[in-house]
This record gives sequence, C-alpha cells and structure tokens, in this order.
Amino acid sequence: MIKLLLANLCRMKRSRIFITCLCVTFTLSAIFTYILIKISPTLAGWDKIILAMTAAPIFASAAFSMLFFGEDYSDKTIRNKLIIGRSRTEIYFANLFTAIIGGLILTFAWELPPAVVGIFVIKDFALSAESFALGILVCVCAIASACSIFTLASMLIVKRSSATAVVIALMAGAFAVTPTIKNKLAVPQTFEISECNADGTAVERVFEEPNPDAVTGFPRAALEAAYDLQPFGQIKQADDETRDRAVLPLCSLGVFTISTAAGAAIFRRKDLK
Amino acid sequence: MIKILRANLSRLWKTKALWICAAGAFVVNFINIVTQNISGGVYGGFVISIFISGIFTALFLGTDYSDGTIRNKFTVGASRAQVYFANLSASAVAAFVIAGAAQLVTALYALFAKKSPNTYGNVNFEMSIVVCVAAMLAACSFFTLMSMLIANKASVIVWAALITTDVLFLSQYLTSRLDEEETVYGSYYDESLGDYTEMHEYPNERYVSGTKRVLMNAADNILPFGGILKANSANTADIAFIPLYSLGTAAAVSVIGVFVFRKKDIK
Repeated sequence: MIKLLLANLCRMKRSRIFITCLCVTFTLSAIFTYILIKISPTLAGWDKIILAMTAAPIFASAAFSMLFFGEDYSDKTIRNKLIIGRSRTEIYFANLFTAIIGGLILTFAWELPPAVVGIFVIKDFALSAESFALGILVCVCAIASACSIFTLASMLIVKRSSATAVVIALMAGAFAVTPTIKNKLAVPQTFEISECNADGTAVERVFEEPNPDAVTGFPRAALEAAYDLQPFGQIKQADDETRDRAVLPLCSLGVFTISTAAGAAIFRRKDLK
Repeated sequence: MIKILRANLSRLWKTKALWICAAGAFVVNFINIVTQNISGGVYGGFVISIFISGIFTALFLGTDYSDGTIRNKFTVGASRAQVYFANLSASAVAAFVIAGAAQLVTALYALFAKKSPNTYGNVNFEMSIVVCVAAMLAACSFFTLMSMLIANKASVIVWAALITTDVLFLSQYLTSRLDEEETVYGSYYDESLGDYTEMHEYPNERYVSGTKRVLMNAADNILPFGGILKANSANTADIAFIPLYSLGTAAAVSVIGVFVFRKKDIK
C-alpha cells in the first residue's frame, strides 16, 4: 500500500488539478481575508474566525478528490494497479490517505492568509492555546471524515462528472442547511413568565413555560445527530467552548469508519469493466 | 438551428438528470420555505435553481464532448454559431424547468398556507419575477459559455459551482453595501470628550458614494444574483433597468462565447 500511496502522492504533486485547486484556494482565501478586514477592521477573536473559515476548503477537497480519483477510471489506470497485484483494499486505502493529505494541504493553503493576518496584524485571540488546539483537532477530524465520503463517492461512481455533481450538490446542501439546524437547536426549550400583581407594581411569581417553537423529542435528537455528524456542523462547533467538543472528533471517527468500511466492502465487489 | 434545437429538446426531455435536478430543486426549496418563509421560497428558489442548473448544463452539454456527438452536428452542416445558440436555448429551457419545479413548491405553499410574498419599496411581485427570470437567462449564458469552451464535464461542474458560490457572496456583499443608509442615528464614543456623544444623526462611514457607488451598482446589476437580491431588498430605485442589465449580460456573454467557440479546436 505504501508504494501505491507514494505513487498517488507523486502524481498529486504534478497534477494540474491539485495545483489549480491549491492556487484557487489560496487566492480566494487571500481575497476573502482582505474583504473581511475591509468590512470589519476591528474584528476581534481572530482564532475563532480561522476555525470558522475551515468550512471552505472542504469544497476544494471535494473538487480535488472527485477530479483526481475520477481520472483513474477515465484513463483506466485503476486496472493497471490491479494487474500488478495490488488488492482492492490497498487501492482504496491508498486513495483515502491521498485524499486526506490533499485535503489537509488545501486547508493549510486556505488558512495561511488569515493566520498570517491574525498573528502579525490583528493579534487579538479569544481562545486559550488548549482550546484552540482542540478546535484545530475538531476541524482536522471533520476534514478527514469529509475526505472519506469523497473517496467513497469517487471509488464507487465510475462516471466522474456524475460523482462530482452528486458530491458538490450534497456538500452545498449540507453547508446551506447547517446554520438553519444551529438556529433551530438554539431556540430555548422553555421561557420565563413573570406574573405581576393586580396593579402591576410587583412581580408575584416567576414560572417557566415550555416554548412551542422549540424542537423537542425525536426531531431534536435527529437534528443534533445531523449537526454533530456532518463536517460543516462539526466545524461550526469547533470554537464553541460551551459544549463538550471532545465528542466531535469521535463523531468524525464514526463517520470515517462507517464510510470507509462500507466503501472498501462495496469496492471489493464492484465490476470495474 | 431549429433542427438542432429540436434534437436538443428531444434529448433534454429524455435526460434523467433533468428530472433528478428538478426533483432536487423541488425538495431543496421545500426545505427552504419551511425553514424561512414564502419570500425566501420565491427568491431563494431562483438562487437554488441557478446553482442546480449550472450543474445540469455542464452535465447535459458536456455529453456532446464526451460522446463526440458535437462533431456529428458539424458533419450534418450546422455552423458553430447555430450549435452554440441551440445549446444556449436548450440550457435556458432546462433552467426554467428546474426553476418551475422550485417555484411549484412556493405556489403550493402559498395556496395551502394562504400566504403571499413580501415586496419592498417600488417593487411589485410581477416585476421581481421578471428580474429573476432575466437573471436566470444571464446565468444560463455563463454556464453555456463554460460548457461549450471546456470539454471536461467534471471540471465544468466544479468551476460552475465555485463561480456561482463566489458570485453569490460578492452580490450579497455589494447589495449590503449599497443598502447602507447615508446617515445613521445614534451616539458614538468621542475620544476628545472621553465620553459618548448625545444621540444625533451623523454620516454613515460605510455608505458608498460617488463613482465607487456607480461602479458597485453597475457590477451588482450585471451579476445575475444582484438582481435577485435587489428584488428582495429595500434598495430598488433602478429595479426596472435590472432585467435590461441581465439581458445585456446574456447577449454579451453569448457573443463572446460564439466568437471563442468558432476558434476552438474540437478534437
């Protein structure tokens, strides 16, 4: 598998797709950082912004993975790997690790401009070093779990264009729906009612009433699971110190394990024609 | 050109991807309405449709390259301009089918929930729909240009999604800057006084004026999403001209597309 991984990395280094993704990611990040400073010159808590911005390179990783691994099918080079005696599992895992390495490099390229601006210009940080490190860990795990999904799609859908369309549409949908899920979950379960005396001069009693707008029961559990399991939800919570963020890497690990196991199992039975 | 357009439309109705995309637009706009409101359904529905039609146009027109059928069209005597405009028309029809599916949800919701979308300032609902339809045409011309000039379907999908998202963010930024009031009412911290000033009206620092405003306004009108966002915002002084901007954009992009496509080496 090491040889396959090295071959993949060697191809990635020279790949026009990867270099284009890298350049576009870095340029867009630089423009975005510039606009962000222009809009709000007094931005505080730059470390939180760096963590929140990690959502964007997921799209770059998706584009890279789908285009890069799709070439194996379109050029039929995937059969060469099998002919020289590599097992399907080895091919799958070599591609998975390549996708993760590519995804992390793209994330680094995306984070470089805001990090430089944050460290040398803004110099305003809201999180402690440990908390920031945990946030970074959450983001890295979220990217790894996203890459496992991209690898699954690119290895199981032969048509590169269809695979790309499906993944881009799913990622855009997940990205768009995440703030809505966050807002739904943020609605308080109860609200406080103060009852005044007859002339309205003093509060007689204060009691709590269930909030009819709050999501409860099974729908809440489903929304929480969707929020914790999908990469954009995890990244949105990466800087949230009010919750137990140590759970999030475990959620990523769960998604990673299930998608990889399912992908590798189906790929072993796939007719490669 | 009519024969090629007919052939394109005939292929369009049989393409499974069109109906999958239309179903996708229907479902996504349903979620959009449930989580937002009916106005979000109308304008958000058009934004969703533009995003999905970008992906569909790349898939549909890219097949001509991947199957090599684009050469058959030249073999039977069609000119490159005819092929380009027939493809543009087919992609516009597909975009309206997708937008129709998205707006079907809005219509059903409006019917059953007895709600109507909000309109602002001098914008009436019919005018805002004209603005959105013209914006879709402008977007279609961009997608057709990309699909006709880049032979790799998957790359076109990625570029279409990337450019659509970036243009959406840019339009949001431009619209929000143009929506800023010239003056604001409030107080601010005066360092010379060492205290907050009394409540009064003072110039808004974020207000854009002069040539910069004219340029930003023109850019916002030219970009497809600018029109849609303006139709749903309070800054609507030039709303009647926005469809003209969109149609002008569509015409300019198509002329550039035909010009470059005529010189393209089709292997």
